[in-house]
Formats: sequence, structure tokens, C-alpha cells
Amino acid sequence: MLRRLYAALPLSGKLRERIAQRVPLRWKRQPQFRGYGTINELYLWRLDRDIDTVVPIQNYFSFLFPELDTATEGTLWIHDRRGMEIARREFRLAHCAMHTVRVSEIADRALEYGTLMWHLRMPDCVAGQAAVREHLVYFTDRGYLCYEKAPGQPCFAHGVDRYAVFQKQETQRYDLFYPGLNATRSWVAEFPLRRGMQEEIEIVLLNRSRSTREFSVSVRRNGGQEIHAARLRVEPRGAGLLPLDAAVFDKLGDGDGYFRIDGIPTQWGRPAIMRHFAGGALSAMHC
Amino acid sequence: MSRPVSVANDDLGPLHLASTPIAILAPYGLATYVGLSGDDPADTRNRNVTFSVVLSAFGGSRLIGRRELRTLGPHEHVFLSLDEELGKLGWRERATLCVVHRVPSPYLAGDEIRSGGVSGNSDYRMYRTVVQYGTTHGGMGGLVYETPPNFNVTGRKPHFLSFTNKAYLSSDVDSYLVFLNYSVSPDYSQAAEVRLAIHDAGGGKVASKAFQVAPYDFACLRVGELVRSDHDPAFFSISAASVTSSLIPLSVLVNKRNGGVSVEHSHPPQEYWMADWTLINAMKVRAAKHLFGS
Repeated sequence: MLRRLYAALPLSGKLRERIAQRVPLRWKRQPQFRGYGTINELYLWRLDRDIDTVVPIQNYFSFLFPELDTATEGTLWIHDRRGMEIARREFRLAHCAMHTVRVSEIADRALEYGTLMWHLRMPDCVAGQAAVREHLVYFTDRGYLCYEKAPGQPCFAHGVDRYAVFQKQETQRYDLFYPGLNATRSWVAEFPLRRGMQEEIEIVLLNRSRSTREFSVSVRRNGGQEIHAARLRVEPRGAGLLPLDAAVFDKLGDGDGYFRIDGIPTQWGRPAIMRHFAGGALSAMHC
Repeated sequence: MSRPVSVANDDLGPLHLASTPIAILAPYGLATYVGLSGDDPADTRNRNVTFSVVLSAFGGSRLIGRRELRTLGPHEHVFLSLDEELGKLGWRERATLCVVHRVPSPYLAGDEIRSGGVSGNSDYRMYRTVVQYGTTHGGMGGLVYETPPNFNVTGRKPHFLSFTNKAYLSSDVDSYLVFLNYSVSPDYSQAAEVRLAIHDAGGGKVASKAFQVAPYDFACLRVGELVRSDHDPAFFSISAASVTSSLIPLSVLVNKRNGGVSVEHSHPPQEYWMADWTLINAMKVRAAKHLFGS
């Protein structure tokens, strides 16, 4: 409320700059970022279509603080597509180590897909750093997942948006990175759609907000004419997949096209795509 | 038909409002494509801007030439084969690194990119290019990225720190690490000195390598030549650092049986800190120096 009031005041840029220099850093930040801690992302896992999901969890603290012994412990949560927790695993991680988990060894393939998240406890030696003690830093674990199409064809993709904030050295309880969300956003994916380049594309959308959301997907020819539209309802912490198959690509004809998403609740919650090729190959990328 | 473009007063600012350096991976059996959009991905800015798509090709660490390939309007998204475009220009044998620029129409006057600095209301952040690699089997893998702001700009002391888990070793898969050494400054001439380490799942260092990346070029390392494993597949952690240059790191995986391609970039270290920039930069430099061994 105070933030909105301040934003509406008719102050010059220079005056705002002077005020900003005098306001303590913790007051400038939203409540969930006023201490120190770690931020984690939410990722898609899937076990359908002969795909396994491998989660190689790297001790990222080791490369930010290579001179320290950053051994730590972590937790992995697996949720179904509706965001309900279905499994939790705890693990230890040495300095520079990597803990690798195959989702097929934990989740039932019949669930097909869902979301997952992991969190590494901030090591004591990192929590003892001056900048951390002075509440100047939140660390963000920006990981990569491996989607492995049998037999042995991997594709990696990173997460696209933050989800959870773990305060201090907390291991289980977290705040949402985006606690209050009013507006929604749109994303016009850069990726050009072209018939014949792949057999099928699946658009991946995750919901990092605290309420059920409805995304709109619009496929368009170059020039802007809509040729296909769909809606996707995704529960909090859940996942949705929307296929664009040969029938959609046929509507594109010989020209290129594109797709846009409306109704994205979080700032960077843009779509990812998974592409299926005639020879059995799979690839994944974020937009 | 493409046409040559010149840059007034060596001012490359307009060329880097929306641009992406791209490694040409034909020597590794991969076709190289770019996907371009005439839209703001956030759909809030620059609604009626048309772009000139300009290709800068580099070989032997020098600019071979610069051509406008086409224009790109709002609501227009296209794939271009870079191999074909280079073939048409007669540069295919020489070009190793290309940069695809989208120059907003206000910055182009005839065949010349206007100098005088980029205006304060030019906001083209997050205008990224789809870079796609394909095999003869028909498999393709893509990613989106852009030239980082002030990338290796003259007068600064760039550093590089990267770490990733995307080294996948398998008898079915060729696994490559690609490092691009590009600059937004025309007089850049710094060869990047890079030190790389590979760690196994337990954290032990199992391999290391020092190598150089020539300016306006890239290096491509085959992970299978650096490390071996009894497991198939095996995952490794990789770290790399440089105190001479900043680099763009990519992981490229090619399945030899079905031609599947995976390509993904690694986040710069500043993505791992939410803090003031001066603090981030100090911590990044300290970590890079430590990993580099200086």
C-alpha cells in the first residue's frame, strides 16, 4: 500500500534517487526479501511418452565460494500435475558434488507429469559471510533438468522463473517468491512455428502463484491471423501441457507462424516447449 | 537479395540493441539456423517497429563482411538457415562465428547504420534469438539467448565464471562444450584464457583443461575426450573460469542413433545472487580468480 502511494507521488527522478539513497536496503525490499536466504525454482517432470526426467542437483554454493567447504544437505519435493506433494527425498551433498535423481525411481509413471523443486540448505560457512550476515544477499539456485528419451537421448532445459524463498538456513518452510499477484502478463514466443520442422510441439506452462490460473494459448500465422486457440487451467504449483500437433501445423500452410500466451501470473513464467521429431528425437527449450 | 551495410563512425550501438553471436557448427556435423521475431516478447514495447536483419560474419578473428539479409515486421517470425545464407554470400568456408542483428528501422538510413548513440527510449532488452542446431536425421535442438549488455566492451576488465551439470557422457551421445568469445567493441582483440574443471558426483576433480578462445571465434570441447566413466550414462559437473574475457557457454548433445540434439546455455553467475551489482561483481571476480588459479 505504502509502495503504491509512494509511486503515485509527483516527485522528480532526482528527488526519488536522493530518497532512495537514505532509505535502508531492507525497507526497499518486499517483505520476503528483507533478511537473507535462498530462492528456488519450480520445474516440470514427466514420465510419459517414453521419457524419464533426471534431476542432477549441483552444489552451486561450491562454485560461488570455491575457497570454502560448502558441504550441505538438501530436499527434493515431487508434486503431481495438480501441485499436490507425492514424494519427498532428503540427501547430503559434498563440496562440488552432484546428487542425481531419476524421477522414474520415485514417481508412478501413471501420473505422467507434474512439478518438482529442490532446495539446498545454505552452508554454515556461507551463512557466516559478512554480506550474508548483513542481510544483503539471497542466493538463487538456477538449475537444469535432463529429459531423457529412451534409449539414451538427453535434452537439458533450465527453469524459467522463481517459486520459493527459504529464509536464512531454513530447510523445509518457504515463502512464495510472488506472494501477491494481481495483473497477468503475455508472452509472444520468439520461436517460429514451421510445418514439417517437427511432428509435434508441446507447450509447457507452470503455475507459480497461490491460486488456480487459466492460460490462453493462441497460434497465429505471420501477420497475426489466429488459426488455433486453447485454454489451459493449471492449479497452484501444478503443470499443464498443451500439444500443437500436425493438424495445427497444417493450418499454418507453407508460411511461418508463432504462438502467444496470455494469463501468465508471474513475471518470468513464460512457456517452455518440448519438440517431438519423426525419428524419435526429443528436444526442450524455454521461450 | 542481401545488401552490404556500413556502420557510421564504428558505432555498433544500434547493431547490439537486439543481437546474438552464434557458433557455426558445420565442422561438427550440425546445421545452424536462427529463428527471429519481429515482436517484443512481452508485447508491451516497440509495437510498430520494423527491423533490418543484419548478418555479421567472422573468420580468423576478423570481420569477413556485414550484410542485410531481409526485413522483419511486427507479427513476423522466421527461421533462416545460416549455412545457406553464408553459402549465398560465398563465406561458408571461412565463417566460424556469426552475429545476427535486428536493427530497428529508425537506426538505418539507406545502407548505413546511423551513429550518434542509441536513444534513451530504445528498450530492446530480452529481444533474444532462437539458435537452433540440426542433424541430417532431422532432429533439432534450440535455445534463446542474446548478446549480454556491454559484452567484453573495451575499457573494462571482464571475467568469466560458469558452472553446469549438463555434461552427459554416453556411448550413444556426443557431448560438446562450446565457448563463444565475442565483443560489442570493434577493436576487441583479446584471446580468452580459460581453465576448466570436471567433477564427478562425489565432488572430486576428475579432469581439467586450460585452453584459449580466439577473439570473434569459439572453442568446442568434446567431453568424451576429457573424461571417461564406467557408467552409461554418467553426469558430471563442469566449472570454467577466465580472468581475461567474458564468454558465452553452451552445452550441445547429439544422439548418434536418432539425431536428437540438445542445446542449452549456462546461466552467468550473477543469476545466482540477488544483491546489489557491486557486491555481485566483487563475489563473482573473487570466485573466478580462485577457480582460474590467479
